Amino acid sequence: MRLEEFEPDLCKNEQEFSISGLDTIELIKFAFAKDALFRFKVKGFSMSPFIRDGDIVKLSPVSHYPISFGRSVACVCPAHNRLMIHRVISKKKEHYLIKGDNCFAPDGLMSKEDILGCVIGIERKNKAVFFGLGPERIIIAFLSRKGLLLLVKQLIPESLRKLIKCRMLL
Amino acid sequence: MESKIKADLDTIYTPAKDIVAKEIQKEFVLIPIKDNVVDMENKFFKLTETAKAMWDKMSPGKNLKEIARELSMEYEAPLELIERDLLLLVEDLLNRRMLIAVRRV
Repeated sequence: MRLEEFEPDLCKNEQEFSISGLDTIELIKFAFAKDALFRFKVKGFSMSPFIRDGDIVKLSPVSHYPISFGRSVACVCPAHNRLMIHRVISKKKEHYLIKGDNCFAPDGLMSKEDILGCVIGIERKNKAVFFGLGPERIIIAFLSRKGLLLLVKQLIPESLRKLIKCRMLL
Repeated sequence: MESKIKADLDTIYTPAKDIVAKEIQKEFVLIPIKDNVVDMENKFFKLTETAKAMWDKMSPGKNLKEIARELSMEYEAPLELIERDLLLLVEDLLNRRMLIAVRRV
């Protein structure tokens, strides 16, 4: 009687095993119930370029890291019941307006209960990425709320984009 | 070389606090919490169906002898075989720090 050991992406024992979004939500809740942080690989492009497909993010419970303007948060989309990581672009009473940095429209208002945790770390190619998590998040959220973030991205010359990309890896 | 922790049938064992035990897609997995992080990029561990039955019995605080006896009756399997398998599983879990010894009875 032995444990079967495997890695999430590199399954041993020739077993196919991938974790669905719903299971990830449950695991995040379990981790937070134990007061632990949660580290996992994200998929998708809705937060590009600040969080990219394949980046590894670290989430903290909201009790440790309060939800605030510009913060990237993991939440459960009520319409589709799926996990997403988007940015808080506004607060209205007890609700937060969430939007992906690379999206045209906000996801809608989320209650605090819909928000699982805050992104406190991003890793890309084994390097920590800080851009988008510091005070600059306020400007990013402001531009995103006004619908200017995508426009600004288009206006930035290629040379400057490369420089920003390098800075994001510092 | 690190010495292996041995299990015995008279001891009560309980799941360690720093693990997440969860059923995912009909598989029961144990995910260790390291440095206060549940890390999905790290290895995690799957329990077989029999091991899961053993794991479930460990929570209420029975010693291994009692657990083996219950499982032997439930599954109509020889007690010696269950005890041997149970000890193997518990030792494996103990050495991975997923289980802790509570007390000897």
